[in-house]
Amino acid sequence: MAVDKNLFLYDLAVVAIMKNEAPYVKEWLDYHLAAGVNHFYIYDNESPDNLKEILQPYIDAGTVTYKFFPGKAMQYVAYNKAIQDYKFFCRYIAFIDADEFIFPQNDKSIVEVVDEILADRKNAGGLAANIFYFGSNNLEKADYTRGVLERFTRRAPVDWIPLLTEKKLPGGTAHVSTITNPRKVHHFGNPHFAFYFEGFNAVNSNGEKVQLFFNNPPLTDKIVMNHYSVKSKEEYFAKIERGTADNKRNIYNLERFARDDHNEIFDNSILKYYAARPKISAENNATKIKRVYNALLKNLSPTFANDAPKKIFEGQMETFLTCRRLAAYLHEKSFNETAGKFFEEISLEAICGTLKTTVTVADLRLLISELPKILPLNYPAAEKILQFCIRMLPKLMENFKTPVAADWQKFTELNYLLEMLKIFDSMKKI
Amino acid sequence: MAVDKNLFLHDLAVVTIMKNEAPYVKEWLDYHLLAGVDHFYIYDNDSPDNLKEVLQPYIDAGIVTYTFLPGKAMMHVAFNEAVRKYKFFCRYIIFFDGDEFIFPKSKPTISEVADEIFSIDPNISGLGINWACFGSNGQEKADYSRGVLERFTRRANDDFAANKHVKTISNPRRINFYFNSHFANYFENCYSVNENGNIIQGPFNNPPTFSKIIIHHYYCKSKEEYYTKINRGNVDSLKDFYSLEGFKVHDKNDVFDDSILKYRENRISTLIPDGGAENVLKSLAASKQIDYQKLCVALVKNLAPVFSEKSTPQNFTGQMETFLTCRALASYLRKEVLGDTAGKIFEEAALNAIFKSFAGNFSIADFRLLITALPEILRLNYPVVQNIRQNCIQILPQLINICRLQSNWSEYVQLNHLLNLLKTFDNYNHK
Repeated sequence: MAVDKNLFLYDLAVVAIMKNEAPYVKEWLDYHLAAGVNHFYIYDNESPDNLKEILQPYIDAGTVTYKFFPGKAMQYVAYNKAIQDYKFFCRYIAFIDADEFIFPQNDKSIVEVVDEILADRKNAGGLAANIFYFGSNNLEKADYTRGVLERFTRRAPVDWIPLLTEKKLPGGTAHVSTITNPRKVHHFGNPHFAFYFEGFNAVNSNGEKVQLFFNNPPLTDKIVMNHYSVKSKEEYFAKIERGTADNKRNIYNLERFARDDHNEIFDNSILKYYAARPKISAENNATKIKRVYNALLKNLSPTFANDAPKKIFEGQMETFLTCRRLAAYLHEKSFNETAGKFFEEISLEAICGTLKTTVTVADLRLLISELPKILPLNYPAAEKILQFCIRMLPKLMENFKTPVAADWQKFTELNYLLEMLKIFDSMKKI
Repeated sequence: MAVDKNLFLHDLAVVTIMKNEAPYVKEWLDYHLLAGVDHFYIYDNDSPDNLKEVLQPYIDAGIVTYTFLPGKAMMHVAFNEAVRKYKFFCRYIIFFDGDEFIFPKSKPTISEVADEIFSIDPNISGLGINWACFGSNGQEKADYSRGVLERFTRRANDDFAANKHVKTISNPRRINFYFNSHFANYFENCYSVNENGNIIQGPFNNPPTFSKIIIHHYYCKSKEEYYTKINRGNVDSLKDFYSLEGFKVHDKNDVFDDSILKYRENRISTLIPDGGAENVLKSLAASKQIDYQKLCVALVKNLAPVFSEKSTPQNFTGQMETFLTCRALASYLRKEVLGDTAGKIFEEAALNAIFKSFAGNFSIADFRLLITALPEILRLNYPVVQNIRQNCIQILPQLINICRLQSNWSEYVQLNHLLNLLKTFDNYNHK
């Protein structure tokens, strides 16, 4: 059952890690705000340029959360941290780069398209959108006075699908970029796709299962990702001089330029889309807090009653874990301490309520991922959740010893977790 | 530094899971007792036969630890549980089956061969031993009155395809997890070798090596016995493992080889010179008993630096595996023989030694081993346990960083989760 969208701080957020993207970032932010993104988590991978300065107005407006994030090969550190920290704050998270523009078709917002496709797809943990690779438009020189969308209006055709590596996996337009329900993601280890909890996967815009980093044949009728990886020759070669955020190796070279610089198809439809987008004003903080408060009240009030029927809890683990996190947010940020603590305890009791119903493997995994935050809490329900996890983990382990899909690493990991939880049980809370 | 062999309850233990092996198990146990095995952890996978009854004298003598483990495809459940529970109690563990006989050739016992090979390099954590597959000797009928070693004396040529398989004898303290009957997944920089000390990966050592140690694999036995196997399941999967085709492929009788019988004779005359060969168990049981006195002495000796005012950090360097073994042994002795007064002194001393060994160099594998032992360590109520936990919280980010550099993102997330759990202990206290 989908979680009430009013519980989230943001309907759609973007997570990105950046280096040397300062000249482009304003256009990129403004475009995505127009396309319906509510918030950006930007990890600054030691940009030597004035990125922070350009972001400052957006940071001040509460649109960008800025994290200085130095070090090499930090992309998935950032992605996995974002999932851990923000998965209950954002209904959807898109993981993209500053040269990627999510482009929903038919004049819709991104979320409208994602909702449409993911609605009723029970196993969908994310939407995989095919990537259009834009070329240099044969421009030699950089012209920072004009935007990327305006300068580069030629791309590779839909059927540009080179086969990659010895495994002959399809690349080019078959590549995908993913907008996830972050509460279904186990981890990120690839820019194109996530690893989901058991039973979940990404789907293409027809709702069909997508594996790894490609969707072949590409689907471009509902949503695509415009990828401006080349830009002008001057900009491309400036990149050669630098590393990239996701890898210590330097992946830009001449051969790659020749491979990537595709200009066969004229396509400026994103400019028309952008121009026609209505102006969206950001929700102010007071309104947002009030909305979340009301949503907590609405979602939790049916559980108050002592004799609340079982069906109120059935399939609601994700909802109540979201409630718990948002309630904690209310009191941590001192927006409403009393209500926050009250809602937090009620959420934990509601989680206990769901534990008396049938809970899916993915929901259990989500609960486990939150245990480090739940176990220290001083509510009787936290203790009950611990007890439940100790009873439930052996059953969960069964899923990883099935002869058809045994995973002995996961099995031993969960076994280890079980042993750890038993220690909490042997101790008393301070 | 290799751990003092006197710190272990058992020098060489066997872990196996069995079903329908009752007619063969006595010969198999007796043979391996002669070959130097000290203890057997036997998981009974719902055997419909009288396995338990045949094992009973061995259980009573403390030589077999029997665990009833019903269910389908339970082999790796058993193996991983054994690693978790027994790794600090057995210097070596070998994981194999009831139709396999380990035959040390270059030395009188299995441990001695293993010692020679493990001593080549401290990172060697497993020794892969090739199969020598034996055929049916053309026998149609089962004859349970005679042993397997005596009945089947013809094997395939050395280069027979199936012979490239190995079974592995491990230092169980280096095992991450077991997921294949032939080999284990070890911690970082730890690996398995063949009898020549060459690194092997996966389930094979190809071409097979047969000079120092081999495993006789009596896969077929007589046609009658093979056919009854076809009609039963397999302990490690749900697939139809045995087929008529399989018999044809494996029934190789190219080479006459009764050397294992001579080896057994030899062992009997060495170990039981005054007669009593008909009851190996009775004759050898005393020599296989856990010697508590010896264990206590070893514990005192190894923990001496903790009690000495003259000890320096060097006394604790590179000894993580030793002190973790001491801790497990101390907890065992406390429970079994020493009681709380002396037991707690040893336990706390071992924990102090673990804490002090953080100061010197330790390998990733050592730290991994410590992590696996945390569920047992953290439940103990000594002040130093908090220090160990704090050290783990400080060092875990380094291990997490290694996962990052190896692009091992699943493990990266997993270890982050553990790190966060360890931090939440601050909100708890011992009851």
